[in-house]
Amino acid sequence: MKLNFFLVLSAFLFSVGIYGVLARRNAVMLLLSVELMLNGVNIALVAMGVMVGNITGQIFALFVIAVAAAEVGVGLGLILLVYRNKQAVNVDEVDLMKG
Amino acid sequence: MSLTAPLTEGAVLATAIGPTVAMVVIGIVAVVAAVHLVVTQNVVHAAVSLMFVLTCVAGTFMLLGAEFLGWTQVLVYIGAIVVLFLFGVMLTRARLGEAELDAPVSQRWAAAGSALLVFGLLSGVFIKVFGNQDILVLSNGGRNAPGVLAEPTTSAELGNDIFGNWVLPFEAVSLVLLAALIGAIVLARRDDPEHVRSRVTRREIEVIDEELGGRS
Repeated sequence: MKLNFFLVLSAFLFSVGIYGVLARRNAVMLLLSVELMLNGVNIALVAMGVMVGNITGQIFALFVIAVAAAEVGVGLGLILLVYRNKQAVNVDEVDLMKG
Repeated sequence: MSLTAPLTEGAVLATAIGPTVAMVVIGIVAVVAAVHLVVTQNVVHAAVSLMFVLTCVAGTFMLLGAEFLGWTQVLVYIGAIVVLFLFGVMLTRARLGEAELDAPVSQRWAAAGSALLVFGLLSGVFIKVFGNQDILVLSNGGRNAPGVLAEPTTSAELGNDIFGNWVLPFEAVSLVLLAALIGAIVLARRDDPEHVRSRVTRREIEVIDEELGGRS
Protein backbone atom coordinates (compact mmCIF):
# COMPACT_ATOMS: atom_id res chain seq x y z
CA MET A 1 0.00 0.00 0.00
CA LYS A 2 1.18 3.45 -0.84
CA LEU A 3 1.17 6.22 1.72
CA ASN A 4 0.01 8.64 -0.95
CA PHE A 5 -3.27 6.81 -1.45
CA PHE A 6 -4.31 7.70 2.08
CA LEU A 7 -2.99 11.24 1.88
CA VAL A 8 -4.73 11.98 -1.42
CA LEU A 9 -7.96 10.45 -0.12
CA SER A 10 -7.67 12.66 2.94
CA ALA A 11 -7.04 15.75 0.77
CA PHE A 12 -10.07 14.82 -1.35
CA LEU A 13 -12.40 14.46 1.63
CA PHE A 14 -11.13 17.76 3.01
CA SER A 15 -11.71 19.60 -0.28
CA VAL A 16 -15.17 18.12 -0.79
CA GLY A 17 -15.94 19.28 2.75
CA ILE A 18 -14.76 22.79 1.84
CA TYR A 19 -17.06 22.76 -1.19
CA GLY A 20 -19.95 21.64 1.00
CA VAL A 21 -19.36 24.34 3.59
CA LEU A 22 -19.14 27.08 0.96
CA ALA A 23 -21.89 25.92 -1.40
CA ARG A 24 -24.65 24.93 1.01
CA ARG A 25 -27.12 27.16 2.79
CA ASN A 26 -28.80 24.63 5.03
CA ALA A 27 -27.08 24.70 8.43
CA VAL A 28 -27.39 20.92 8.94
CA MET A 29 -25.65 20.39 5.58
CA LEU A 30 -22.89 22.75 6.70
CA LEU A 31 -22.28 20.66 9.82
CA LEU A 32 -22.26 17.45 7.74
CA SER A 33 -19.58 18.94 5.49
CA VAL A 34 -17.51 19.99 8.49
CA GLU A 35 -17.59 16.36 9.64
CA LEU A 36 -16.26 15.37 6.22
CA MET A 37 -13.33 17.75 6.63
CA LEU A 38 -12.54 16.48 10.12
CA ASN A 39 -12.50 12.90 8.84
CA GLY A 40 -10.13 13.83 6.05
CA VAL A 41 -7.75 15.29 8.61
CA ASN A 42 -8.06 12.17 10.76
CA ILE A 43 -6.99 9.92 7.89
CA ALA A 44 -3.93 12.10 7.28
CA LEU A 45 -3.05 12.05 10.98
CA VAL A 46 -3.25 8.27 11.27
CA ALA A 47 -1.41 7.62 7.99
CA MET A 48 1.42 9.95 8.93
CA GLY A 49 1.58 8.40 12.39
CA VAL A 50 1.89 4.91 10.91
CA MET A 51 4.56 6.14 8.52
CA VAL A 52 6.81 7.57 11.22
CA GLY A 53 6.08 4.55 13.41
CA ASN A 54 4.55 6.07 16.52
CA ILE A 55 1.00 6.29 17.76
CA THR A 56 0.80 10.02 18.47
CA GLY A 57 -1.14 10.46 15.24
CA GLN A 58 -3.79 8.05 16.47
CA ILE A 59 -4.05 9.88 19.77
CA PHE A 60 -4.54 13.17 17.95
CA ALA A 61 -7.25 11.54 15.86
CA LEU A 62 -8.97 10.33 19.04
CA PHE A 63 -8.96 13.88 20.38
CA VAL A 64 -10.36 15.14 17.08
CA ILE A 65 -13.20 12.60 17.32
CA ALA A 66 -14.01 13.71 20.88
CA VAL A 67 -14.02 17.39 19.95
CA ALA A 68 -16.11 16.64 16.85
CA ALA A 69 -18.72 14.96 19.02
CA ALA A 70 -18.87 18.04 21.24
CA GLU A 71 -19.05 20.28 18.19
CA VAL A 72 -21.99 18.40 16.70
CA GLY A 73 -23.88 18.53 19.99
CA VAL A 74 -23.48 22.28 20.41
CA GLY A 75 -23.94 22.95 16.69
CA LEU A 76 -27.23 21.08 16.48
CA GLY A 77 -28.39 22.83 19.67
CA LEU A 78 -27.67 26.19 18.03
CA ILE A 79 -29.43 25.16 14.81
CA LEU A 80 -32.44 24.07 16.82
CA LEU A 81 -32.51 27.45 18.58
CA VAL A 82 -32.27 29.34 15.30
CA TYR A 83 -35.01 27.19 13.83
CA ARG A 84 -37.25 27.86 16.81
CA ASN A 85 -36.80 31.62 16.49
CA LYS A 86 -36.80 31.97 12.70
CA GLN A 87 -38.59 28.85 11.44
CA ALA A 88 -35.70 28.31 9.04
CA VAL A 89 -32.25 26.73 9.01
CA ASN A 90 -30.98 28.82 6.10
CA VAL A 91 -27.67 30.39 7.10
CA ASP A 92 -28.25 33.37 4.81
CA GLU A 93 -31.22 34.42 6.89
CA VAL A 94 -29.25 34.43 10.13
CA ASP A 95 -27.66 37.87 9.83
CA LEU A 96 -28.61 39.39 13.17
CA MET A 97 -25.01 40.22 14.03
CA LYS A 98 -24.12 41.53 10.59
CA GLY A 99 -22.44 44.94 10.90
CA MET B 1 -4.24 -8.51 10.34
CA SER B 2 -0.82 -8.85 11.87
CA LEU B 3 1.53 -11.13 10.06
CA THR B 4 4.89 -11.08 11.72
CA ALA B 5 5.83 -14.71 11.22
CA PRO B 6 8.22 -15.52 8.37
CA LEU B 7 6.29 -15.76 5.16
CA THR B 8 6.67 -17.60 1.91
CA GLU B 9 6.70 -15.67 -1.35
CA GLY B 10 3.08 -16.56 -2.13
CA ALA B 11 1.86 -15.47 1.27
CA VAL B 12 3.62 -12.12 0.96
CA LEU B 13 2.02 -11.58 -2.43
CA ALA B 14 -1.41 -12.53 -1.11
CA THR B 15 -1.17 -10.19 1.84
CA ALA B 16 -0.03 -7.43 -0.46
CA ILE B 17 -2.94 -7.88 -2.86
CA GLY B 18 -5.69 -8.18 -0.24
CA PRO B 19 -5.14 -4.80 1.39
CA THR B 20 -4.64 -3.13 -1.96
CA VAL B 21 -8.00 -4.36 -3.22
CA ALA B 22 -9.67 -3.31 0.04
CA MET B 23 -7.95 0.05 -0.22
CA VAL B 24 -9.23 0.68 -3.76
CA VAL B 25 -12.78 -0.38 -2.90
CA ILE B 26 -12.82 1.79 0.21
CA GLY B 27 -11.42 4.71 -1.74
CA ILE B 28 -14.03 4.49 -4.50
CA VAL B 29 -16.94 4.17 -2.07
CA ALA B 30 -15.64 7.05 0.05
CA VAL B 31 -15.19 9.36 -2.95
CA VAL B 32 -18.62 8.60 -4.40
CA ALA B 33 -20.37 8.97 -1.04
CA ALA B 34 -18.55 12.22 -0.25
CA VAL B 35 -19.48 13.77 -3.59
CA HIS B 36 -23.08 12.60 -3.19
CA LEU B 37 -23.15 14.20 0.26
CA VAL B 38 -22.38 17.66 -1.07
CA VAL B 39 -24.60 17.56 -4.17
CA THR B 40 -27.73 15.76 -2.98
CA GLN B 41 -30.90 17.77 -2.43
CA ASN B 42 -32.16 15.52 0.34
CA VAL B 43 -30.85 16.04 3.86
CA VAL B 44 -31.57 12.47 4.93
CA HIS B 45 -29.66 11.13 1.92
CA ALA B 46 -26.77 13.38 2.90
CA ALA B 47 -26.76 11.94 6.42
CA VAL B 48 -26.78 8.41 5.01
CA SER B 49 -23.88 9.18 2.67
CA LEU B 50 -22.00 10.64 5.62
CA MET B 51 -22.52 7.25 7.24
CA PHE B 52 -20.95 5.57 4.21
CA VAL B 53 -17.98 7.93 4.29
CA LEU B 54 -17.51 7.33 8.01
CA THR B 55 -17.60 3.57 7.50
CA CYS B 56 -14.94 3.89 4.81
CA VAL B 57 -12.80 6.02 7.09
CA ALA B 58 -13.15 3.36 9.80
CA GLY B 59 -12.01 0.80 7.23
CA THR B 60 -9.02 2.96 6.38
CA PHE B 61 -8.08 3.12 10.05
CA MET B 62 -8.25 -0.67 10.25
CA LEU B 63 -6.08 -1.01 7.14
CA LEU B 64 -3.56 1.29 8.76
CA GLY B 65 -3.50 -0.92 11.85
CA ALA B 66 -5.38 1.54 14.05
CA GLU B 67 -7.97 -0.95 15.26
CA PHE B 68 -9.04 0.87 18.39
CA LEU B 69 -9.50 4.08 16.45
CA GLY B 70 -11.53 2.25 13.81
CA TRP B 71 -13.95 0.88 16.38
CA THR B 72 -14.11 4.24 18.12
CA GLN B 73 -15.05 5.71 14.77
CA VAL B 74 -17.83 3.15 14.35
CA LEU B 75 -19.18 3.67 17.87
CA VAL B 76 -18.88 7.43 18.22
CA TYR B 77 -19.38 8.63 14.67
CA ILE B 78 -21.68 6.11 13.06
CA GLY B 79 -23.44 5.19 16.27
CA ALA B 80 -23.89 8.58 17.86
CA ILE B 81 -23.15 11.48 15.57
CA VAL B 82 -25.14 10.25 12.57
CA VAL B 83 -28.12 9.56 14.84
CA LEU B 84 -27.72 13.07 16.25
CA PHE B 85 -27.75 14.45 12.72
CA LEU B 86 -30.90 12.54 11.87
CA PHE B 87 -32.52 13.98 15.00
CA GLY B 88 -31.41 17.42 13.90
CA VAL B 89 -32.95 16.89 10.45
CA MET B 90 -36.14 15.64 12.04
CA LEU B 91 -36.47 18.46 14.56
CA THR B 92 -35.73 21.28 12.15
CA ARG B 93 -38.06 19.74 9.58
CA ALA B 94 -35.61 20.75 6.87
CA ARG B 95 -37.90 20.65 3.90
CA LEU B 96 -36.94 17.76 1.68
CA GLY B 97 -36.34 18.20 -2.00
CA GLU B 98 -36.28 21.99 -2.04
CA ALA B 99 -33.72 24.01 -3.92
CA GLU B 100 -32.86 26.26 -1.01
CA LEU B 101 -30.34 23.73 0.26
CA ASP B 102 -27.76 25.20 -2.09
CA ALA B 103 -26.27 28.65 -2.37
CA PRO B 104 -26.67 30.64 -5.63
CA VAL B 105 -24.90 29.27 -8.69
CA SER B 106 -22.13 31.90 -8.70
CA GLN B 107 -21.25 31.08 -5.11
CA ARG B 108 -21.25 27.38 -5.94
CA TRP B 109 -18.77 27.93 -8.75
CA ALA B 110 -16.55 29.90 -6.40
CA ALA B 111 -16.84 27.11 -3.84
CA ALA B 112 -15.92 24.49 -6.44
CA GLY B 113 -12.94 26.61 -7.48
CA SER B 114 -11.63 26.93 -3.96
CA ALA B 115 -12.17 23.25 -3.27
CA LEU B 116 -10.28 22.31 -6.44
CA LEU B 117 -7.48 24.70 -5.54
CA VAL B 118 -7.13 23.23 -2.07
CA PHE B 119 -7.24 19.69 -3.42
CA GLY B 120 -4.64 20.48 -6.07
CA LEU B 121 -2.31 22.16 -3.60
CA LEU B 122 -2.61 19.47 -0.93
CA SER B 123 -2.30 16.47 -3.23
CA GLY B 124 0.47 18.16 -5.19
CA VAL B 125 2.48 18.68 -2.03
CA PHE B 126 1.77 15.12 -0.84
CA ILE B 127 2.78 13.56 -4.14
CA LYS B 128 5.90 15.69 -4.42
CA VAL B 129 7.05 15.03 -0.88
CA PHE B 130 6.12 11.39 -0.38
CA GLY B 131 6.34 10.24 -3.99
CA ASN B 132 5.86 6.51 -4.27
CA GLN B 133 6.64 5.74 -0.66
CA ASP B 134 5.32 2.44 0.63
CA ILE B 135 3.60 2.86 3.95
CA LEU B 136 4.42 -0.59 5.25
CA VAL B 137 8.18 -0.58 4.87
CA LEU B 138 8.52 2.18 7.38
CA SER B 139 5.70 1.31 9.74
CA ASN B 140 6.52 0.10 13.23
CA GLY B 141 10.03 1.41 13.01
CA GLY B 142 10.89 -0.66 9.97
CA ARG B 143 10.17 -3.98 11.63
CA ASN B 144 7.72 -5.12 8.97
CA ALA B 145 8.67 -6.56 5.65
CA PRO B 146 7.44 -4.80 2.51
CA GLY B 147 3.99 -5.89 1.44
CA VAL B 148 2.99 -7.07 4.90
CA LEU B 149 0.40 -5.18 6.85
CA ALA B 150 1.51 -3.07 9.76
CA GLU B 151 1.10 -4.63 13.17
CA PRO B 152 -2.13 -3.31 14.68
CA THR B 153 -1.76 -0.91 17.55
CA THR B 154 -3.09 -2.50 20.72
CA SER B 155 -5.41 -0.54 22.94
CA ALA B 156 -2.92 -1.12 25.75
CA GLU B 157 -0.29 0.87 23.88
CA LEU B 158 -2.78 3.60 23.15
CA GLY B 159 -4.00 3.70 26.74
CA ASN B 160 -0.45 3.88 28.11
CA ASP B 161 0.33 6.81 25.88
CA ILE B 162 -2.92 8.68 26.57
CA PHE B 163 -2.63 8.29 30.34
CA GLY B 164 1.11 8.87 30.26
CA ASN B 165 2.09 11.58 27.84
CA TRP B 166 -1.33 13.03 27.13
CA VAL B 167 -3.12 13.10 30.49
CA LEU B 168 -3.53 16.86 30.54
CA PRO B 169 -5.03 17.15 27.03
CA PHE B 170 -7.22 14.16 27.87
CA GLU B 171 -8.60 15.90 30.96
CA ALA B 172 -9.07 19.08 28.96
CA VAL B 173 -11.07 17.15 26.36
CA SER B 174 -13.25 15.67 29.08
CA LEU B 175 -13.95 19.21 30.33
CA VAL B 176 -14.75 20.31 26.78
CA LEU B 177 -17.23 17.44 26.46
CA LEU B 178 -18.86 18.34 29.77
CA ALA B 179 -19.12 21.99 28.76
CA ALA B 180 -20.59 21.00 25.40
CA LEU B 181 -23.12 18.73 27.11
CA ILE B 182 -24.31 21.46 29.45
CA GLY B 183 -24.21 24.03 26.67
CA ALA B 184 -26.30 21.89 24.34
CA ILE B 185 -28.90 21.33 27.06
CA VAL B 186 -29.07 25.04 27.88
CA LEU B 187 -29.33 25.98 24.22
CA ALA B 188 -31.91 23.44 23.20
CA ARG B 189 -34.27 23.57 26.14
CA ARG B 190 -37.33 25.72 25.77
CA ASP B 191 -37.13 28.04 28.74
CA ASP B 192 -40.00 30.43 28.28
CA PRO B 193 -42.86 28.84 30.21
CA GLU B 194 -45.23 31.61 29.16
CA HIS B 195 -44.88 30.64 25.52
CA VAL B 196 -45.65 27.03 26.30
CA ARG B 197 -48.54 27.96 28.56
CA SER B 198 -50.10 30.29 26.04
CA ARG B 199 -49.82 27.64 23.35
CA VAL B 200 -51.46 25.05 25.55
CA THR B 201 -54.20 27.47 26.44
CA ARG B 202 -54.80 28.33 22.83
CA ARG B 203 -55.04 24.64 21.99
CA GLU B 204 -57.41 24.10 24.88
CA ILE B 205 -59.55 26.99 23.70
CA GLU B 206 -59.66 25.46 20.23
CA VAL B 207 -60.74 22.12 21.65
CA ILE B 208 -63.44 23.75 23.76
CA ASP B 209 -64.62 25.78 20.76
CA GLU B 210 -64.82 22.65 18.65
CA GLU B 211 -66.82 20.86 21.30
CA LEU B 212 -69.17 23.79 21.70
CA GLY B 213 -69.51 24.14 17.96
CA GLY B 214 -70.33 20.45 17.64
CA ARG B 215 -73.04 20.67 20.27
CA SER B 216 -74.79 23.76 19.07
